[in-house]
Parts: sequence; structure tokens; C-alpha cells
Amino acid sequence: MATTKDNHRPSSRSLRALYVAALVFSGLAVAVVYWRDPNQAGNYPTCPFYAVTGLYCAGCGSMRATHALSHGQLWMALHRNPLLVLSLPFLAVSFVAWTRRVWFGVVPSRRLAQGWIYGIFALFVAYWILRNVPLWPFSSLAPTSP
Amino acid sequence: MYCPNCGTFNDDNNFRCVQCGNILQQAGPPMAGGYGGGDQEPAFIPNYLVQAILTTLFCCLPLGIVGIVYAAQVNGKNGAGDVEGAMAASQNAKLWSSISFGLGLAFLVFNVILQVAT
Repeated sequence: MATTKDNHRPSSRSLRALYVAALVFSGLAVAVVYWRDPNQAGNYPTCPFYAVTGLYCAGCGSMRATHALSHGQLWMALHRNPLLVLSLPFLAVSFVAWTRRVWFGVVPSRRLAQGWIYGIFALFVAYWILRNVPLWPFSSLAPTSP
Repeated sequence: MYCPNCGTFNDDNNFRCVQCGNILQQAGPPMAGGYGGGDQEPAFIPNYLVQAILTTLFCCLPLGIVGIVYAAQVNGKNGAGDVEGAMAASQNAKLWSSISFGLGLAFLVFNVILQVAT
């Protein structure tokens, strides 16, 4: 039976270690981006996708958006990567659910329906394509928008 | 084993008796990670959706997008009772997000080394 084969599930202890590691890693990353300005050319490498294709990816501007957010500039972050800012509430809810699962063993009772996740997929693909269109409503999605 | 309730012979791995539905595996050790063995709700199978989204937003590669598709399959198949299929999709979701994360990290480390060296 399937329930005996779920050895891909990490043990509780390694899950907790992973939780702490992810938090430390994220904290350090935000601290670096807070202090070292990504708007300054040469401070960080260019996005590999942009370097190769000359097109923006869904993640272009994420570092600058994170920098803006860490300095409390929500409006600036929206200009650099609106999808990142839009994802924040979802990421926050998921973080709470993850915390409850790892530290209190609370298994989420409600999962996102398949259709909703395909919707997220469509949103990301559309965003990836449209932010490269150099026409007004779409050009505001580009990371260089004023 | 024989069902203690109705006496019907069952395969040792059966969770419920094929005849009367009596739960046979109750005495088993609790599952790792504190997951309860709920018998009506589908089991919790991680879909790695957050990892897929984060690697798409921060690793600048189209690979995280593949992880989102697999995340949808995990929830879809798990909801439909296809536990094996959901677990396979879960493994794939984890794999693609990991590759995306690994490549993004490798790219960053490579660039830092390059910058320090020159």
C-alpha cells in the first residue's frame, strides 16, 4: 500500500533543520540585498535568462523589488516586480501553514484545487511574456518601469 | 492476516478489511513527521508550490514553471485518490524546483568567485 512507501517525506527532525536553514538563508539574503544596492550596476550579476535572450524573465527585478521592500518602499517594489509583490500574501499564508506543520504537526486540511494552481501557472507564463511587450499597459510590468 | 472483526483473510498490507472495512493497521507505529493517519481525508502530499514560485521569482530560469505544473498535478491526483500518481508528481515538483534553485545558486556563487578573482 502506498502509505508505506512515502520515504520521500523527510523525518520531523530534518524538516525542522530545513526550516531553520531556510529561514537563516532567506534572512541573510535579504540582509545582503538591503545593504548592497542592486540598482547599482556591477553589484550583482545580471539575470542569466536576460543575459542570454535579451528578454525579461518572471524574476527580473526581484532583487531590486526586495531591496525596495526591505527599505519600506512598496510602490517602488511594485514597479520593479509586481508579481513578486502580488505573491507576498500567498507566500505569507503558506509560511504560516508551513510553520504550523513543521513545529506543531498540523496537517493542512484544505489544499488548493488543481484548477487554481493551473491558474497560477497561466498567470506566471502570461506575466513572463507580457512584460516583454513594449506597449503601454504591458510595459508597466517591466522591471525598468519608472 | 485475518480480520479481528469478521475473520475474513486479508493481505498483510491492507489498511482496511476487504469484507467489513474494519481498520487493520491501527497498531502500526505513528508515521514520521507527526502526520496523522486520517482514514477519510487524503494523505498530505507536499506539492512544493511555494518552492516552485520562489525559484521562478528568484532564480531567473523557466524551470520553476515546470514545478508549478507538477504542483497542480499533486493536488489534482491526490484529490482524486490517485496516491501513487500524486507522489510521483510530488517527486517531480521537488526535483524541478531543486534543479532551478541549484542552478541559480551555482550561477551566483560562480559570479562571486569570478568577481573576487578578477
